Amino acid sequence: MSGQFKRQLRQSEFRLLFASILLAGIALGAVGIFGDRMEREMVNRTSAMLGADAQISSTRPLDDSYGLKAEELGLEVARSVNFMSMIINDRGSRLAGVRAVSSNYPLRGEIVLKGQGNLPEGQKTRSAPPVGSVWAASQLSKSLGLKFNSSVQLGDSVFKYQHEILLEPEGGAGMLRLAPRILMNLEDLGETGLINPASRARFRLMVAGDRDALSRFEAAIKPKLKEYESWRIADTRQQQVRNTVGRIVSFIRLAILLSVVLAVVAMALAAQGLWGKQANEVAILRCLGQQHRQTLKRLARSYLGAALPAALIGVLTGFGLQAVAGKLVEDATGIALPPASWMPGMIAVIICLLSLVAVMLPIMISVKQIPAISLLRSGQTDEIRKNRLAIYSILVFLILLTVFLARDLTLALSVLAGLVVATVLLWSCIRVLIVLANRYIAPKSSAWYLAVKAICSNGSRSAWIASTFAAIMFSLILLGLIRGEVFEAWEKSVPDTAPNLFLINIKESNTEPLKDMLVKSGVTKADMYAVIRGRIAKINDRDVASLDFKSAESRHRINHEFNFTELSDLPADNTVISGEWFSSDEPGLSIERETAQVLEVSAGDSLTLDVAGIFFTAPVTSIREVKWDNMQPNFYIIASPGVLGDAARNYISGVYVPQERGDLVYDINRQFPNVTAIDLGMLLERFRKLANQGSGAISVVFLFTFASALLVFIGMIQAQKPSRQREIALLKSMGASRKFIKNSIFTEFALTGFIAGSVACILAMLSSWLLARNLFELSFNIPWGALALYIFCGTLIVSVTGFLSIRNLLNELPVKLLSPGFVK
Amino acid sequence: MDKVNIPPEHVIAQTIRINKSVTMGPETINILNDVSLTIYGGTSASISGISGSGKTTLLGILAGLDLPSSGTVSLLGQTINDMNEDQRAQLRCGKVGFVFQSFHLLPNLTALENVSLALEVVPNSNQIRERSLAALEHVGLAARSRHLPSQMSGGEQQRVALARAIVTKPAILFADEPTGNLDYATSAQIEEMMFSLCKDFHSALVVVTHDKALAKRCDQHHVIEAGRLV
Ligand SMILES: Nc1ncnc2c1ncn2[C@@H]1O[C@H](COP(=O)(O)OP(=O)(O)OP(=O)(O)O)[C@@H](O)[C@H]1O
Ligand SMILES: [Mg+2]
Repeated sequence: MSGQFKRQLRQSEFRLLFASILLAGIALGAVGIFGDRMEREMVNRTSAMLGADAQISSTRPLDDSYGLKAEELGLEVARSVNFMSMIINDRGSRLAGVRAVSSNYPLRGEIVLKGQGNLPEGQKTRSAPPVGSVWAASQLSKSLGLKFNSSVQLGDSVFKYQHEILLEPEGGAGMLRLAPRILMNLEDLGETGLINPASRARFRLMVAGDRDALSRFEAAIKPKLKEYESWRIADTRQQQVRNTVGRIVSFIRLAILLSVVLAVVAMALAAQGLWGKQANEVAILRCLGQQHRQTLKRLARSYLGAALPAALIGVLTGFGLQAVAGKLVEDATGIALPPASWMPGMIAVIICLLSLVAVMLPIMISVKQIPAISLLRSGQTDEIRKNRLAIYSILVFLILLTVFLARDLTLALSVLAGLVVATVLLWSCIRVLIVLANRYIAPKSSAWYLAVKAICSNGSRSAWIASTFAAIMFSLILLGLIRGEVFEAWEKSVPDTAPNLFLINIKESNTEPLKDMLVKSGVTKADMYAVIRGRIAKINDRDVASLDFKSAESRHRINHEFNFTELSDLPADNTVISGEWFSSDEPGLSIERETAQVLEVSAGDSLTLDVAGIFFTAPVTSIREVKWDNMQPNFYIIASPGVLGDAARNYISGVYVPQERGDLVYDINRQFPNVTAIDLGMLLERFRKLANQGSGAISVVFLFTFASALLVFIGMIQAQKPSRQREIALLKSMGASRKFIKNSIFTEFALTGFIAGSVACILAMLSSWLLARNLFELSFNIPWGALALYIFCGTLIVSVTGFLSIRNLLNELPVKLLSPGFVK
Repeated sequence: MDKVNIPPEHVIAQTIRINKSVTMGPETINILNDVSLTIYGGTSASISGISGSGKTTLLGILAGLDLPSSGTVSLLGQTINDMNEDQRAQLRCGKVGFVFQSFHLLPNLTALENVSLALEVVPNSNQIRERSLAALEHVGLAARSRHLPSQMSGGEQQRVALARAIVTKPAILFADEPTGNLDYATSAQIEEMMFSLCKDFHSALVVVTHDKALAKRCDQHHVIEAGRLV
C-alpha cells in the first residue's frame, strides 16, 4: 500500500489531490474548531447574561418536579424569587426589586462587587450573599446611604448590608425592568414574611449543564409547562439573528461554509485532472488481464491511503493554527475561549473523506466504461474525463454539505445559489468574450492578442479558471461585505451617546424640574415617557377571559400587566409595518409586531385597556416593528395622546450623561428622592468591549477563509499546468521569446481575473444584499469604493499568483516540456 | 504460474468469418468483412495493409479486447464470443502480452515498477521483483530499472514495454506497430529482441506492421485491404 502511495505521489495531479484534502482538513479543522469555540463562547456570554443556560420562570411557586427532573439529568439547579418590596434603614425607605437566590446563584456569569475594605474593586463572585446578609445595587446603596455591616430591614427581618453590586446577571429581565436591586439568600425569604400565595412575585428555576442534558430537560418539561410558566434558553440558535450574538454566530458559520465549499471544489478539480491519467492506467491493467473488481480495489486503496493521512495531518495542522489564533485572541482581549472539543475535529476528518468519496466515486464507477481497446487508439480515454455524473455528484454533495454545515436553509441556499449563478454567469461571459474576440480581434503578433486567443481557444480551461476565481472572489467579497455590515450594525446599536442613565418612577409634577436640572448638567436630550400600568381587558369587546388563544404564551401575556404609554410621534427605531401612525386627534393604539401576533390582533381590531379599574377603549391603528436593542425606552402598546384620559401615570427617561458628570446621580437622588436612577454605564462599557472582542475574533476566522481560498486558487492553477506546458513548448518551438510568452500569460491571467472579479463583485453584492436583508436583518449600502478596490485586488492577486505558479515553466527547454512524463 | 504450453500446430487464436461494423449516426461502417485467420502456438504472424484498412481492429478482436459483430473468435482454446469483459480479462491474465505503438508505460512508475505491474495483476504471483529484473535484463535495461519513462528514450521505453509484455512468459504476444514511433536502427533492435524472446518463451507472436522486412520474418503473412484478407 505504501509502495502504491509512493508511486501515486509521483503524479502532480495526485499530489494536488493530496494537497487539497490536506487543505480542506486545515480549513475545516482551523475554522471549524475555532468557530465552534467562538460559538460556545457566545453561548456562554448569553448564559452569563441570563445567569444560567436556561430557566423556567413563573408567576407562581414552581412545582418540585422540575427541579428533580433537572437534577436527575445531571443539570445544576439554582432558584430565585423576585418581587418588589420596601427596603428600610435608619435614613429612610426605598422601593426595590428584591431577588432572593439560592446559594449557588449565578450558575453562569458572575456578580461584580464594588471594592470595600480589603475587597478589591470589581471582585467577581459566583455565589449568593450568605444567610443573614444582603447585597445591594449601587443606586440603592447610595440613595439609602448604606454602610458596610449596617442594618437593613426587609419585611419582618433585619439583614446586615454587606456589599455594593456593580453588575449582576440580568436574569432575563429587560434592561428597563432593572429596578434597583437587592440580593438576598433564598433561605432567609420565609422569615421576612414577604411572600404569600397572593403576592406578586416571579419564581425562577435556573439550570446549567451540557447541551445534551439541556435539550433532554427541555423536551421533558416543555409539555408540562402551565400557561403561567415560561421557558427560556440561552442558546444562540433560538435567538438566531435577533441579536448581535446570533449574527456573529451566523457569520462564523458562513465563513466555515465557504472555506469548505472552496476546498471541495479544489478536490474535484484535482480529481478530474488525476482521472485523465488514471483512465490510461485502468486500460493498461485491463489489457494485462485485471478484473474490474481488482482494479476498483486497487484505486480505492490508493486514494483512501492518501486521503486518510492527508485529512488527519490537515485537521491536526488546523487544530494547531486555531490554537495559535485562540492564544492571540486571548492575549489581545484577555478572553480565554472555551477549550477545543473533539467533535468539530472529527467532523472535519469525516467531511474530508466523504468529499473524496463524492469526488472519486462517480469516476470509479466509470472504470467499467474504460475499454481496453482504447490503448490501441488514442483519444478514447478523454471521453471519461468529461464525466457528467462526476459533476452532478459533486454538486449534490456540496448542497448536502452546505445544508449540514449551515444548519439554516436560507443561509445554505443563498450561498449555493450565489455560487451557481456566479458560475453560470461566468461561463456565459467567457462564451460571449470568445465569440466577440473571434469576430473582432484580428490576428497580430502581440502578447495581448495571444492572451485573448489563449482564453478563447481553451474555452473549458478558461471557464474553469474564471469560475473558480469568481467563486473564490465572490465568497471573500461576500464575507468581507457582511463582516463590515455586522460590525457597523453593532457599533450603531450602542452609539457613544447611548443612554447610560435611566430614570424611572418620575412623578408628573417632577418632570419639568427634573428636565431643567438635566439640561443644566449638559444632557442634551431628556425625553420623558409616560408609563401607565394596566391590563388588556377586552379584545373587540369580548372579555379576554372568554377568548381562546392558540398558544399558552398568549394567555401568559394577557394575564400580565403592560406598560402603556401615550405618544404623538413615532419613536425613532420604530417602523409601522401595517396600518398608519396616529395622524390627527383620532384615538388609536399602536402595537408591537410580536405582541400583536401573540394577542392575535391586527390593525382595525379594538382593545379595551384596564388601568386600575377604569376602562379605555380604542381601535388598533398600527402595528410596529421595534428595534429592541436600541437602548431606548420601548413600549409594546402605545396610545395616542388622550386615549388613557387621566389614568395614573409616572414617567421614565433614558439620558446620556457625559462622563465628567458622573456625579449627577447623587444630585438627582438628593433633589428627587423618589426618582429611581439606574446607572448603566458599566453595562454599556461591557457591551462595547464584547463588540471589540467579537470583531477581532471574526477577523481571525475571516483570515482562515482567505488563506484557504488563496491556496485552493493556487492548486487550481497547478491543475492547469500540463496544458500550459504544452502551449509554452509549442510557442517556444515556434520561436516566441521568453518575454513575449511571459507578457501574454500575465495578460491572460489579468484579463481573466478582471472579468471574474467584476462578475463576482456584482453577484456578491446582490447576495449580500439578500443576506443582509433576510438573514441578518440589516440595512445594506453599496460600498462602491470597496468594490473597485476588490476588483483591483482580485485582478492583481489572480495575475500575480497565477503567473508566479507557472513561471518555472518558462525556463525549461521546449524539448523537455514535450516529453510525456514531464510535469513540473 | 499455470503456464499453458500450447505446442506448435495447436491453434492458439482464431477468427472464423468475422465481421465488424460500427454505426455512426445514420451510417454503418463495415470495418472488417468475413475475416478468417488462425494463429498456431509458437509461430509468428504479421498483418499489414494501408492505413485505415482494419489492422488494429482485427488485432483487438484477436486479443479479446473487442468483440466482432458476427463470426466466432477463440483465444487460448476458448470461444470468447459469449464471455463478458471480466471473463475475457481473466483469460488474458498472465497469458497474453501486448506491445503498443505508443508504448503506454505509466509515467509515474519506474521501469521496474512498470514491468512488475504485469505480474501484480496475476493472482498469487511470486518473486515479482526478481522476475521483473530478469525481464529487464532480457531487454538490456537492468541498469535503468529505477528510471521513470520520462528519463528514457523512445526505444528504451519500448524495450521496457517489451519486458512488461514477456515477463509473464505469455502464450501469445500482440504487437501493434511496435516500431512505428522509432527510428530505423532502433526498430531493428526491438524487432530482433521481440522475435528472439518469443522464440525463447515459445510464445506465439502477432504483429501489425508496415515494415516489409519485419513481415517477411514471420511464419505467416497476412495483408488486409478495406477490411478483407487478401
Ligand atoms: N470506434 C470506431 N468508430 C468509427 N470508426 C472506427 C472505429 N474504430 C475504427 N474505425 C474505422 O475503422 C477503420 C479501420 O480502423 P483501424 O484502426 O483498424 O485501421 P488500421 O488499419 O489500424 O489503420 P492504421 O494503419 O492507420 O493504424 C478506419 O477507417 C477507422 O476510421
Ligand atoms: Mg492501427
